[in-house]
Amino acid sequence: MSDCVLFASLFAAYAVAHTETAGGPTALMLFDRSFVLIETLVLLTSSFTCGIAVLCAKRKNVLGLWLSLGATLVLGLTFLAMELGEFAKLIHEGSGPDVSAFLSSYFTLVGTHGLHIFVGILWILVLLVHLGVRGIQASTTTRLMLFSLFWHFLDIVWICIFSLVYLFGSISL
Amino acid sequence: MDMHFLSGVSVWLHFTMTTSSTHSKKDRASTVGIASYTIGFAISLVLTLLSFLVAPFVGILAAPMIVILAIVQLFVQLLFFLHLGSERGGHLTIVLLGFAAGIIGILIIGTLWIMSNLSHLHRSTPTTQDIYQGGVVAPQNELH
Repeated sequence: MSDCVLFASLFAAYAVAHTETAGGPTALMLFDRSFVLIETLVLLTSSFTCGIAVLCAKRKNVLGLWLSLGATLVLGLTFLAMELGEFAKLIHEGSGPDVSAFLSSYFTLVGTHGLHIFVGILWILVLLVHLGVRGIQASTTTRLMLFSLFWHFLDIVWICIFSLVYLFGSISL
Repeated sequence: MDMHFLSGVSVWLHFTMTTSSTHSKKDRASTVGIASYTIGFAISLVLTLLSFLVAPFVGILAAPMIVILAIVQLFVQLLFFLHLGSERGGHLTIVLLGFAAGIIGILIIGTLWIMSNLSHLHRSTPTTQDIYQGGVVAPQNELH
């Protein structure tokens, strides 16, 4: 819930600042729709594999759990790599967060989401290590439920980001 | 053949419904187990692709469409992935969601209102040069 409030305030800041481009690049120039579509599909699929992982834990299916949790990890890493690549490219061509209010708020909003994804990835790694060392325990189902809550929440925030930031930006609003 | 298929489906349904201990018997079968995640994934996929297709073509009219698609997808993911609202007696969940939506709404709408107010007010502030013309306070800027 407090994470919701955090993202809401970052969205509000972006809503206020997104027109202040200070003579620099605008959203129309910067956002590549097909790239964002691939990012979105990667994250959506990782949300799906996360759900499968929860089911595997409930049914004590060890192989399924390894595979689905591993798939979630790989997809999460792919998403993060794509996002970091985009950030690096923007900064390299001179559209970093220091250029205008629009870019500052964009980098903060999307960057905070990326940071949450990174923490989620660390969480998956801990879960996998625990699974490898101890196998499925009584607590595994609970842990996976909690992780899946976090991961699904991140996908929901991404729905808002890709709709309101990327799609709105690319239709010159 | 038909009987085999039907009995297989009923066994599968029974299996998915009884192996999840966190769901009560009151949940619909479509919001439980593998069916829940598959349906949720499929619907979200369709909604996402729709959003991306609508964006370049309709122009400014696409804005409300994208918002509606996003909100629908949000609820689809809440229901099918997070299972928030699939219980028959889950009124508390809806109230909590409404509360969260209210807080977020106050935050965002309030911010936009205040900031637009501020930028409007600051637009008509005269500069120091306007106030002092020729070494004296210009008549229109004198305080009475």
